[in-house]
Amino acid sequence: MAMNESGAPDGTSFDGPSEEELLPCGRRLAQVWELAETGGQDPHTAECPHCGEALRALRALEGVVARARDDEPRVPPWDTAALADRVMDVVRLELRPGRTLPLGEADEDAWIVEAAAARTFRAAVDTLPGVRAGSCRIEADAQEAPSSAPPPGRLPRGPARVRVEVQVGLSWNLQLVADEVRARVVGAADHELGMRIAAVDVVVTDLLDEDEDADEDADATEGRQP
Amino acid sequence: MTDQQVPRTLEDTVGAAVLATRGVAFLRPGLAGLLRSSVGLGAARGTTGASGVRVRRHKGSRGLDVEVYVVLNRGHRALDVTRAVRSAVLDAVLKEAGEGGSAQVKVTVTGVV
Repeated sequence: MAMNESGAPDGTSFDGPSEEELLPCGRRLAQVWELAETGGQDPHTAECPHCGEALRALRALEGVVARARDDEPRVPPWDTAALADRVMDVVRLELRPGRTLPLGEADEDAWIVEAAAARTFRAAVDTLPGVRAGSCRIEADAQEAPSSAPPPGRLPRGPARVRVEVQVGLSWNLQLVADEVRARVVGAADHELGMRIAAVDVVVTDLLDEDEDADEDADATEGRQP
Repeated sequence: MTDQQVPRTLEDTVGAAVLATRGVAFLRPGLAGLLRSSVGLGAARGTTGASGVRVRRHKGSRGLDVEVYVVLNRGHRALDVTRAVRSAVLDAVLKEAGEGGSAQVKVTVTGVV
């Protein structure tokens, strides 16, 4: 804010004393602060204890504001489009939920619809740079004979077998990327769902030309060829 | 056999207990609930008497079969939430039906938001 010596910018007059806070030395507080912020020199301010105290208070205030800003959690801007997408996903799941898969141990009665579990696995796989998850199907593991017939529409309670299709960047070693995908799926099954997994079949359906961003990350990515 | 209906208030009580469980976003909305919320006539979360909770009584006994369908908030382990839901439902049934109350609780996660 540009202010002139008379205290009113461009001849505009202020009403009320709050706009004209004067220091004991007669200088206006706003004028002293503005001069300091713009780097201007004033022999009076350099010598005056009142102006000096006003400037110290200003610096202290700036420090408090800076610390408060640093302490604020970094909340990403609310992405309404992403939220709308997720809500629509839920609506689609309600209309077309697919089969229901067991969560937890054999003697529990907890379940999750296949589409929700598959989405969790695909999201976990997508965190790998240069990897895109495609179709994901979850079946009962044929090696595990169910102790009892499952309820209609539900898989037998026991470890599941996941089959996930992926497209991978050319710089990936295919064996390594398959291992990484398995690790992501098993990790998501354990940490995000609580689902027991017997095996993860990874099918590489395509190779991708990687963009520049992926190249920048290549050095820091374990398992990728230089 | 589980063909005896129970009062709607019990379903509401169970639904409220489920909604109070950490990690639960909302009960599975039926189509009516989805449409209702989409036109601003009421949020799905506030309507517990939806298709997200089914309570039936075992014929000839005080035992209940409770089926709960929930959508979870992202960031919560699904199995842990279903266990908490089961515990909350059992507490609610016990409180409603007294010491002799019992229930088999089936919890199904239908989505994560």
